[in-house]
Amino acid sequence: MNKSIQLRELTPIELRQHLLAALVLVLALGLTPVIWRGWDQGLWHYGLRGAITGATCWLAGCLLGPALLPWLPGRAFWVKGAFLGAALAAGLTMAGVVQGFMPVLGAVLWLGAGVSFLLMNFTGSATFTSQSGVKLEMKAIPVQIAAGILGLVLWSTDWWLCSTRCFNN
Amino acid sequence: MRYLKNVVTLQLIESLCIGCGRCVEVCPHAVFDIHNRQATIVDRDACMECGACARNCPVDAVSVNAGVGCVTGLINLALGRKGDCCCTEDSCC
Repeated sequence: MNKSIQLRELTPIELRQHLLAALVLVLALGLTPVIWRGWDQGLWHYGLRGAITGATCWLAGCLLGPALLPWLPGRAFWVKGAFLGAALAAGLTMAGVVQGFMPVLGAVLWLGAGVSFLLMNFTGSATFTSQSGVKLEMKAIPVQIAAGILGLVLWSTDWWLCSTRCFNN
Repeated sequence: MRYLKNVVTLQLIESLCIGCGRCVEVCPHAVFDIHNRQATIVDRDACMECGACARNCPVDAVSVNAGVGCVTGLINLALGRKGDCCCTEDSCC
């Protein structure tokens, strides 16, 4: 079999399925700060951090999460995803991509919610999930939506609420 | 890997069981075993609600709300979508 065909078959289709949503998220997070902060600060300081975090959400939920599934804590997929998202938010904070109390709290919430939702979609490909269990897991969806919205609001306070004194680049 | 505890709808009415062992044969996750010519559930949480046991039990001693455990499918169903991953309550395409 041709190697490129093998690779294409192995790549999770979720990456392609959620590509458009991921692009919208990356562009929104990358460009919205420009409205408040102008191109210089808005794009390079705030926008780039948002774009990197948005892309992390997409890659973690579609690629890293399923790859690490057996080692992530918890039995429910939404718990595993929330843990991975929060851990990645912590990692991005340590790497200096996310800075400040509100953005860090926001990133933990919305990255956790995003990865949690994306990973839940892999219940269909797992061989050990049951419909009753999945119905129970789906009760987490309103929590994910609330955490996602709250997280994004907290995340964006950095550029629309904070005065220029907060700008520490 | 193990899924959630105490959620599956699998039921076995032992008084109806004739001990034919068909459920042990068809279950993909070794949920059943035969003891003293009678089926018993030995690993309930391993059940994935595929429905093979209930379908193959000759005396209807086993029942389960069978369906596919797929969030995407259930969301599609709730939204009334039809397509590659649109489960119904009874089966999945």
